[in-house]
Amino acid sequence: MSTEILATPFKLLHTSDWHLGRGFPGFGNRGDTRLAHARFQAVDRILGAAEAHGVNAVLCAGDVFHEATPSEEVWRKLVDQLRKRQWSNRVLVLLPGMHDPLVQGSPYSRGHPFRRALPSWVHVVDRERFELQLGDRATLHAVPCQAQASEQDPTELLPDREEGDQGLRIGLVHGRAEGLAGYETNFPVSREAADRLGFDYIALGDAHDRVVLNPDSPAPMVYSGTPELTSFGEQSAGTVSVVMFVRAGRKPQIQEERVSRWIWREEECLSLEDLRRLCRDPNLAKSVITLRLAFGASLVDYVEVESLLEMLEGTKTRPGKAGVIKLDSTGLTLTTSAGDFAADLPEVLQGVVQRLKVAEGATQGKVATRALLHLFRILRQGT
Amino acid sequence: MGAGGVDKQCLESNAVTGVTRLHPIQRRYLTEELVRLRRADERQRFAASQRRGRIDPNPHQIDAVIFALRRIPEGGCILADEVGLGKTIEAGLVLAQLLAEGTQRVLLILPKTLMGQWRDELYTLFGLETREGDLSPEAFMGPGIFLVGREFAGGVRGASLLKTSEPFDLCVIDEAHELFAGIYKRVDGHGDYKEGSKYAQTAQRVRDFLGPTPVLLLTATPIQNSLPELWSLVQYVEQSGTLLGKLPTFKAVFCGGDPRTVDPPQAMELRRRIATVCKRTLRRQAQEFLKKPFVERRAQLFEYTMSPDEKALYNDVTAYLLERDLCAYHGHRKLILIGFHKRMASSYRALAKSLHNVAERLRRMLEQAPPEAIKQATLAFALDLEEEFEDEQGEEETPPTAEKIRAELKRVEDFARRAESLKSDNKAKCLEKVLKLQDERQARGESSGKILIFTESLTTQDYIREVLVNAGLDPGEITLFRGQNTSKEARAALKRWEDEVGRKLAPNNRPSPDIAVRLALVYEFKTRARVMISTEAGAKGLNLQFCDTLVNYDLPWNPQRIEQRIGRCHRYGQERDVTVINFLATDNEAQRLTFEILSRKLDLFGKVLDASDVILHQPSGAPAESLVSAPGIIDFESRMRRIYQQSRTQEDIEVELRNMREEIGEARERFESTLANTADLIQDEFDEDVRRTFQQIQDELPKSLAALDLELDRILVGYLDAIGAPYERRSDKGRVQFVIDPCPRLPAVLVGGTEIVIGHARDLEDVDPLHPGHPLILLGALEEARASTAQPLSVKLKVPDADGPLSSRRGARGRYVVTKTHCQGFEPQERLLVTALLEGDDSPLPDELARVCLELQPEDHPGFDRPLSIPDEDVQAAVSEAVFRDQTEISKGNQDRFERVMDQLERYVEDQLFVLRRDLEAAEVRLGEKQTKQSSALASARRKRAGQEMNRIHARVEKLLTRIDQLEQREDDVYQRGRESAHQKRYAQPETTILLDVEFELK
Repeated sequence: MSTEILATPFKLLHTSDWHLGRGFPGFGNRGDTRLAHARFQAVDRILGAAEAHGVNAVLCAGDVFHEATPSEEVWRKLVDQLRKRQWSNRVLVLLPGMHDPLVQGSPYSRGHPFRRALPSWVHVVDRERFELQLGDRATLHAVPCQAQASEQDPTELLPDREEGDQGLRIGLVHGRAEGLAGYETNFPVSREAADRLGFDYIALGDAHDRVVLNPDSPAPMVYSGTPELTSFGEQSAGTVSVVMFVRAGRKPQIQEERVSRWIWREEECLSLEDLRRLCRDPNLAKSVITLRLAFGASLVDYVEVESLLEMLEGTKTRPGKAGVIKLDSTGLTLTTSAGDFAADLPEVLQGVVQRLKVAEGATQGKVATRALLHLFRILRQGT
Repeated sequence: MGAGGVDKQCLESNAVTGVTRLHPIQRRYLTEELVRLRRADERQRFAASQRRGRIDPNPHQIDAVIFALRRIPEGGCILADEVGLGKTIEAGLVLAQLLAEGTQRVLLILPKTLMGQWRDELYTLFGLETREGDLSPEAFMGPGIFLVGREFAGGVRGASLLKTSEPFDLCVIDEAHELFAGIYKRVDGHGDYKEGSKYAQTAQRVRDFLGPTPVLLLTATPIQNSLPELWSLVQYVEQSGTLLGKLPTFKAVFCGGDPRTVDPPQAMELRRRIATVCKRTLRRQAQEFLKKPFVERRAQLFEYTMSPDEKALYNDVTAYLLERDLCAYHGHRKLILIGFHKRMASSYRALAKSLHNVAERLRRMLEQAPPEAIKQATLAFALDLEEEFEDEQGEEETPPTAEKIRAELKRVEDFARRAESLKSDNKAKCLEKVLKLQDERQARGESSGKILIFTESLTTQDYIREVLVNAGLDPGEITLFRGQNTSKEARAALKRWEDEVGRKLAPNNRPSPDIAVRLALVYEFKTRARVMISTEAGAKGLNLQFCDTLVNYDLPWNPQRIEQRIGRCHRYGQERDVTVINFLATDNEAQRLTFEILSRKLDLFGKVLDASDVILHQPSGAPAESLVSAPGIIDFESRMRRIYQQSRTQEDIEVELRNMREEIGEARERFESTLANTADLIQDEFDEDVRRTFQQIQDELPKSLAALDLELDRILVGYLDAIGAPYERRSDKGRVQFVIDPCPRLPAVLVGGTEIVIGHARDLEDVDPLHPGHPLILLGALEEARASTAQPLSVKLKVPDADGPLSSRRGARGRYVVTKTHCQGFEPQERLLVTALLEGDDSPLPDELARVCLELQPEDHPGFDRPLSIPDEDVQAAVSEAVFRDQTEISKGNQDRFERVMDQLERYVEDQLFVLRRDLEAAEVRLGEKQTKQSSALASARRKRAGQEMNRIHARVEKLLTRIDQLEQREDDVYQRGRESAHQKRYAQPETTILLDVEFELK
């Protein structure tokens, strides 16, 4: 197909899976607040990037909210963010996804206060065959999820390119591409849809990692991934795609933009030295860490472990070094030894240590071990 | 050489540089590529900065320059290398690079004593001329590097003038800790300036006129007394204030109760934050990579005893001076009292001269001469020490009676006679011994044989000259250096320098007359003389690293001045250990105590040996350079003055000196202990990481320099050939020198011809080093190439016969375009992109093939028989795509910086939240206590009082909760401004300019 060059290149920013309102209860109150807040910050970065790149449209390919009926606090916060901006020649299109399908009570439904509060440049895909003209040369075709699961391929509802149509055609759908786990019931998406239907680009949502389904095709189908990670193992998440078209039929240029703040890490320390090394890591403050300790420690080492953990987690009088941390110290064992105590200990205390060492082998062994630890701490503080 | 020689030279040069004659397209591309603005860490940029100076920087200095260049667009930084690692050189490299890249106006705020040194070093090492600022309205107009003393910058009139002048592009503040010392004299506990404090006013004035100007702070000791001092310095280079937060938050988060030390668990975090704006290299890290390792300093002490006549005169004059109401002091007590003591310690010739001056003053008083005439006699007294004469403000004194004056005059005349009739001068004899010893050391190859002698007195300077001539030195072997160098010897030296050096300098590189005479006397000492005798005027700004022996004929009372004297020889480039020679009269207790403080408490002279090399004192702990400016020590001179002004007997003086010795010893211990606690805070990197970085720079630099030199050579040859300028080119010692004859087509400042060198220029003082910012490149080669490619270009590109890229496309026609992008971002940078399209192709050539087009040798082509069918809009679309792709590359660099800034902003908020939550908890505890108190109170008045207190705490809790809520929503102006600015920089879109648009045919 030979088409005309656009007078000015057409640019869009493709994002998805914001999951606003998602909670992170496993990380405690502080962690939960931080991570929930980070999702809104990511939106802020996305909108900022869109302005700086001068894109014509921002497409969010589903799962804007984590739930079908998010609380007012959540959707209001998004509205407040959007209303801070005044876009006159750029649009934002929100697509209902599997987590926030277009169902009864959904904020996407017409008449919902969310819809009424949105600025005019924000469009919601609220019907099956949604079509929106983007500037004078591009058309967006989008299909919303209307349930949390379905065997229906949403691309089947996208229209084919009409004879003689030389404009740019952009698709926007939410679903799982064929071959990805669970695709059968999660709005399966055909990998050939863009080529088959004459689209120049299909923006996909659902996968949290960034994936280009058909890298060699002139009509890419892309998962931009979630802009802020939601769990461990999302290796290539945290980005959005900025896409530039100079004419229909020519493969667009795609630029990957990192917008995430947090790094999610699963750490296991098998020795005190591992823990020390972790504490020196310069990226701690922007890390979400699950830390598992699995080693044995003498009394001296145990006291150091406690102080290192205190440094990571923080106290009431001191901020922690790690951004968000979840600790599993069930694998940390304390091994006491009379040798941990100074040789010139007063006789009476030596007697206490000996008695507690004997008690460690008895039924209340754990209590005795804790008592030895307390005694050790008191003696160290005394020196 | 005539025009006929030009072609021959071209052929020769082309053979050497290995290219055929450059086409204008190639000249344009090469030159634009050479001068484009690069990121600070790009090899070509730091290689270019090195070629601007006549120095051979060490890896740690290049590392510091990269750091500073990266930081300057974000507000500036602190360069805090340990002493002796060349912070001036680092700043000079930064300045030279920025000026070449278009920076116009730089302000240097310096201790007044270092202004000469800066002026000379910037000129001799980097060819940068400076202007000394003053109060005249035009003093700070136009482009330039302006030097001002810190008293000027912080003073009412100076600061006001600086505030109203055109903004500066950069401000460098040397010894910054001194300008901003004593934080609690300047700010209150909240970090706000104390309006009534003069220290606050000084610092505030500087801050006011600086505005958003980026600042480079130089200091070896950014922490002296407390962590808030470091906080204070950081505010100047991190103007958003978000790195460390407000002072109370900073203290709450990092100080853990004691502002002098960091809360240990927070040390790593503080180090990490400080490392954002502060670069520090330690000697031990740099040592391995130094091209010239550090040399030691050692002091040799020549002890002597005074002859009975000398001793008697000394005692009598001292007793006279300590009398309370001498006629001689009338109206100028301080000047005369201190001046006398200093000159008596300098030489008996100087003492005699002082006595004559005072006698003359008394005579005029006796004659009731007009006040002006008496003042003239006093002025002569001041001039001997090259000091500025100031009228002293004091109480109205009753004029002495004639009888009293007459009696005193008689005493003074008697002293003068005794001083002149002294038969022997044991101190002068020590100097003769030094000469002999120096001969022996030179014979053993231990010394250059040159000696630098310092004295405070002009009379002593002449006297020493006499002593040396009498000892057998030829007058031509002695150079005198003083404040006013107008003697016929100085004029002769200037003429010789003009003949041998000055006239060879490029017109744009000639120094002002003031600098020229200083350079001439140094040149005289270096090339002809054996001894230089200098007054204090030479303690600043002279580079005498070719001399390794220094004699303090007398010692100033200001330890920093002594340090500066030694610094003339013990400096970058010195290859031998430096010997500092002092003379001490063992039977003069006051002199002995003073020397002991300087040598043992302040470690000014390093290891102290006696005349036969027996160690008298081994230094330890902090280096002298930091001790002399440490708190409690800097007032040494004023203490000395006070002691001599207030003492009534010699014993009083000795007691006071002993007290001072103890106090300074204690101050030193305190200073060292604080340093030990805090010094590592500004050292973030592990030695191994630092070593790796330095190693990488050391490995890469030669390759980068070689590549840069080759480009410069190609461009210059191409340019000179293009304009037909006659030149001679020769290679020698790994560098290429050009002698370019006059040519009207050269840039205006060089039409008379010039001599330049490509490569290192350390030993070539009279040849201009070529660098990308040189007029030959910017005004010559670049302008010529731009003019030659201004018209539409049409060429044939020869594809090599062998199979290779594009060989299958012979015969195809196309267009290639070179686009320059300028992206502001966190660090401005320019890039050149090449885009090429062939007729009939749907898409542009891949980037690597487009670059191949540019590398093919072009041949001019008069024009194609049929027009190309590649419309402009296709080219524009291809360029847009290339720019878009290139942004991914730029993004990578910006992303890290963006993350860091956003992280900084988040922590700024989190720190505040942490403190607020802590306060909230404390308030809630207090509330509970009050509640208990209220419910248990029996008296209604008590209940009421408790209720009122609870209301106050409630209000406080409410306030805290509101603020916590706001911060959790990031409703904070500073945060929002920072976020906005970071977004703009991160996603900044490039501006594009088409440099070349070429139609071509592949053949």
